[in-house]
Amino acid sequence: MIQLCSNDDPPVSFTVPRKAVELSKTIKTMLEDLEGFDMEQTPIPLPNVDAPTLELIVKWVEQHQDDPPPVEKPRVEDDDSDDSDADDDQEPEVVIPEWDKKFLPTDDEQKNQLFKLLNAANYLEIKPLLDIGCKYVADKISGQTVEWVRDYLNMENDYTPEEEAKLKEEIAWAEGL
Amino acid sequence: MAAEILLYDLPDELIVHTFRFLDYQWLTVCRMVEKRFRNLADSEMLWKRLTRLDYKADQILWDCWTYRDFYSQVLHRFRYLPGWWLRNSEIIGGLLQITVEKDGINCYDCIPAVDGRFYANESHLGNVRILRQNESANGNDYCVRLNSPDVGNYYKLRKRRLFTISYLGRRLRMYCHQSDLAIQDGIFHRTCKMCTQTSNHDCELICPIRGQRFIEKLENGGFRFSCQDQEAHESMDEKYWLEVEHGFRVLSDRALTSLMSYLMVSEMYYFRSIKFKCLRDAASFTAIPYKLSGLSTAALPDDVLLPRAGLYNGTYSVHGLELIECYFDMVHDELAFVGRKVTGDQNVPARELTFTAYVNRRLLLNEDDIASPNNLSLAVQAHEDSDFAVNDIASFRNQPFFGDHPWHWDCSGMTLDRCCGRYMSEGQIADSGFSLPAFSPQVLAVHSDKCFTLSWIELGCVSVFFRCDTQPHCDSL
Repeated sequence: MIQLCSNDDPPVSFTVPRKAVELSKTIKTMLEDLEGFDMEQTPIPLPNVDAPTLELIVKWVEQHQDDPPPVEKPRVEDDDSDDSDADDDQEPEVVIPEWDKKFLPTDDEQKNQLFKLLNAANYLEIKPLLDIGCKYVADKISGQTVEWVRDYLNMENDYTPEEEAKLKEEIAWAEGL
Repeated sequence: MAAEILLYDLPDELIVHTFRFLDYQWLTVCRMVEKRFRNLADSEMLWKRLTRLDYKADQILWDCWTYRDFYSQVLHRFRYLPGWWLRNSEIIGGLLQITVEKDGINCYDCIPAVDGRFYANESHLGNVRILRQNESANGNDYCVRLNSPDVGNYYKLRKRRLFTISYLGRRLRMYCHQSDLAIQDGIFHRTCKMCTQTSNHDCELICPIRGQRFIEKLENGGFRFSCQDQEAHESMDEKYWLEVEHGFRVLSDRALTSLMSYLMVSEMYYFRSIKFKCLRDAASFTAIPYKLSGLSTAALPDDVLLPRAGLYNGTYSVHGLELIECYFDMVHDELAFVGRKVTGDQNVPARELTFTAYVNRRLLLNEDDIASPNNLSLAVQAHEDSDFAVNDIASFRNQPFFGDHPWHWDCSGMTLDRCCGRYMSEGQIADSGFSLPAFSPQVLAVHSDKCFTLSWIELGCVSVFFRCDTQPHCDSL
């Protein structure tokens, strides 16, 4: 069992099976680097994660600890390495499982919690959780107006009216807006 | 860490990761939200991915374009074009393929394989000597064969480029090809540099929607294309005709005159010059989306070998080769293998049924039964009386086929001794102009999953069908 500590004062700690915690690439790498030390006795502090978020993370990794590991493929993100048969085509479609649908903090007042969870999943490198979280947000945005997206994400319009008019012209090709 | 956290506060990589799950439309919405989002939504990585996923165009060969510009100004604008289309020329019909390629969006006219039947064993046609490509022509009275008389050629689907929407140099330009036999042809490929008749010219751009569309979209989901320079198309001459329809190039004017006078006396000339006229009219045509219909293979019996559904080259005696789409379907509650014409002729035009073979009406025939059309007719009658029941399935799957037969054989250079199944079929026949259409009894014999024959009992001739090496992308295949 591994202990994880939140960034609260005082820290809140959670005890998680090693197998589950290794879904986080960040922690897995750390544990591998520290092979030989008795990690069961050493709590791991997570400076970017607060207690409610860590609780969610722990819940998720425990639920998914027995999932088959995702097939790792070398990712080619930069544009210049132009291998035409890159894996993007075979990239599996992300489907949010039923359990995860209930698990994700999806109520509007829990929006902050959702973003904190995404941030933590990113920091801890839990790719499947990151995928379903981002997919959820993307699904939420799809089909909405610009104003709706601004409102949902609590964002300010920082364009001048002139800039906005120009942008509208620029995007006229994508019909149905 | 602050208690409040918004999507905006998340690192760029996380936002871009979220954007990966958006399609072009909502990516464009995100651009409008605010400035940082615009920069992130313009990320080339995202648009490269969409280019791949939506259009399978995965190589950036258009150096002067960014993926985002290319996606929005080219791919999206012509998004309904790539794919397969039926040519709406009433009698002749035809199939078009439009693909995104490195030099532009290209439209190809798919034409059947060259019919080598008349020339396979003839080194002379009229008084003109026909050469193979590798023979050197020293005199003047020569034609060069563009394909060797090889049965394998019957499996080829030839393509002739019709028009291109070119995007080289960041400038959209459309032009049509008066003649371009060489490109992606399969048969002519090695000789493409010698192809002389090619000339391109600008064509009219029909722009009904906001002045932006090059090609008009029709009500039924098709498109219409027309060229300004009809004259250039009409000037397509006999040399071109010989190349398209007969598969050889004339090397001198003297040979041309001599050949034409020979061909014009044959009935072949009449039928095929009609076909050629349609190629000439390519400057103006309409097209509708093409999709092969039919049942999935799960519905088929598994104790016999049946031909695969798809596009076939079929030999139609004097009409030459025609493109036929073949698929399985229920006809009057009976499982049938159906052939419908993609290209047609004076008698039975495009889009009409050409045969319906009933998969559960099996025929087991012996050497005597196939010795003559008359014997075949009697044998078929006997099977009909016993309700087409065949018990000896092993013999059914290995039956004799015509050796030295009295039938009019449409495919020289090919011998088929055995077949692996025979089925009762009906073929559609008609007088010129599709008058008095009727169904006439046939026997369909399967030779492989890519080859079958139809024996027209009343006509005493045999058509051979070859599954094309290029197939339209269809779900049911």
